[in-house]
Formats: sequence, structure tokens, C-alpha cells
Amino acid sequence: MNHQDDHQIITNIRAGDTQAYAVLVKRYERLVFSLALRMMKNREDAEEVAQDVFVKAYQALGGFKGDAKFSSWLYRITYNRSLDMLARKKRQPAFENTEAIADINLNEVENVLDHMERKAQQEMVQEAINQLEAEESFIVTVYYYKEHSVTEIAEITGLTESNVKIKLYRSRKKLFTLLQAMPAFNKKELL
Amino acid sequence: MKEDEKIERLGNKFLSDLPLENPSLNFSDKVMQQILKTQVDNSYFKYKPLINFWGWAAIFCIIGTVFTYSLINPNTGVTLPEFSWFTSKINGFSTFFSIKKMPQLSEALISVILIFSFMALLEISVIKRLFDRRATQ
Repeated sequence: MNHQDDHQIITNIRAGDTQAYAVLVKRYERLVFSLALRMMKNREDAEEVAQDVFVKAYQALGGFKGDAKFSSWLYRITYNRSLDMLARKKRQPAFENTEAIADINLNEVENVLDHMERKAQQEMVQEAINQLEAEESFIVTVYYYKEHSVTEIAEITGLTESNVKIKLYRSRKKLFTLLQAMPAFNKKELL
Repeated sequence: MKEDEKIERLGNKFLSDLPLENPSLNFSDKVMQQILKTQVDNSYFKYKPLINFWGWAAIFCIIGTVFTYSLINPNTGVTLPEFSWFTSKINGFSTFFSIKKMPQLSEALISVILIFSFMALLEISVIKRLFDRRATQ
């Protein structure tokens, strides 16, 4: 949608119009922040990462090749900066061992979600996404929000396409398993 | 329906239109402030030679001329009146303090030393002014 516009803005910035960068920041701040939040699981850290991403992107704008989407380039920086910060803080959010939960009733999950208010449904799904590991959350968000292809995600994350496919499948399965384990799914009146 | 197909369908149904999170209200202002600050910092630390290419070329031309002149005329040395005045003063200074062991310096060498001393003093004053100006930007 904004592909051409982004490139025009970048040309203006390279020509010395620093303030033009504010347009790009405004355009992508929500997505960059959301991706950072999904990985960091903490608003303060996510905001720090998102700011850092935009500053680093500005500094590296000279090296940005026009053959790629600016957004994909920005997501790659977000992914790498988030991983850097997680490594620096030497912490990974604690997750439940969902691998052990083998039985997943997808019909039940769908049924319960269908009976929920849209807002409550979204909140619950987001809560489950927040329980995924950083990389899994990132892949699921990029895949569904911007409808990036597996190939694009592979380019953003530096993983192979088959690896992305496997991670995407596992992440979604884990997500629905986490949803199924939530207290709201055990309330029979919702069924 | 297979499990993977069902997961794909449910993913499309429930994950496609999730709302995005909002950062703090002044997020973009903070980013732009940081960028402008970085730019000032970069300009402060960016390497700028005090003497540019043509400055160095002029200095080497002067030094080269003095040396060439002293090589062509080894006996006479530099005879410019200004340098003669300086060399006579320096020789007078060494005589006054009876520095007899010090080898007699040629006028050309003394001229070169004087030029370098002058350039060093000039550089110090220029550097100080330049850094003072950059620091207040």
C-alpha cells in the first residue's frame, strides 16, 4: 500500500529532510511496538526496543536497498533488536510446557471463542500469544497481521522457509493448546 | 478435516484481525528527539581535518622550497632577512648561555624549526577555538 510512498520519503530523508522520517515513525510505530511487545512481553522494554529500532533504522538508512520493502527491513531490525535485548537481559519469559498437552480439541476451542464477545475473544487470543516464546509470537504476528508469506518471514528472521513453516505450525498449535487450558474454556455455561 | 488444516482455518479466523498495541502518546516525538540528538553528536565527533588537503599542500610546498633551496645553496643557506634575524637571535641566545657543546645549526634547519613552531602554535589556538565552538552547538 505504502511501498512507493515509503521509498519517496526515504529519498527525501536522504536528501536532508530529517523531519520526513517522522512520517515513517508514525506509520509504523504501532506495528513495530506490537512486534516488540509480543517478543519482550513487557511494555517498558518494548518501548525501548521500538525506539531503538527507529533510531537504528534511521542511522542505517543509507544502507537500505530499495529492492526490499521498508516495512520488512524494519521488522528484521525489530526482530534482531528484541532478541539482542532478551539476550542482554538474560531472560526469557516463563512458559508452560504445552508440549506435554497432547490432546487438543480444536472444535471445543472454536466453539468457545465463537460464543465470546469479539473484544473478549481478542483479549484472550492476545493473552495466549503473550505466553508463546518470543520467536513464535513474532512469527505468528507477522504472518497474520501483515499477511507476510513464509518466504518473507524467512528473509526477515534469517530462518529457512521449512523452519518457518514448522515453527508457524507448532506456534499455532501451541497457541490453541494454551487457549484450551485457560480457565474460561472450562466454564461449561459458555458452551 | 486434518488437524493441520483445521489449525490453518482457525488461525485465519481468530488471528487475522487482532488489534495492534499503541506505544506511549509522545513516542514519535521521543524518537525524533533522539535522532536529532544523535545527529548533533555525530557532527561533533565526525572527523573534520583541521588542515585540509590544500593547506597541507601549501605547507609541503613551503618546506620543500626551503629544503631545495638549502640543498642547491649549501654554503649560503636561507638568507631571507626575517630568518637571518631569528637565527642571529637564537645564536645570540646560545652564546649568552655558553652552550658551546651544541652543534651549530644551519639557517635552513632553524628556519624549518621556526616554521613548525609557528604552525604548532597556530594549530593549538585553532583547535581550542574550533572545539569551543563545536561544544556550544
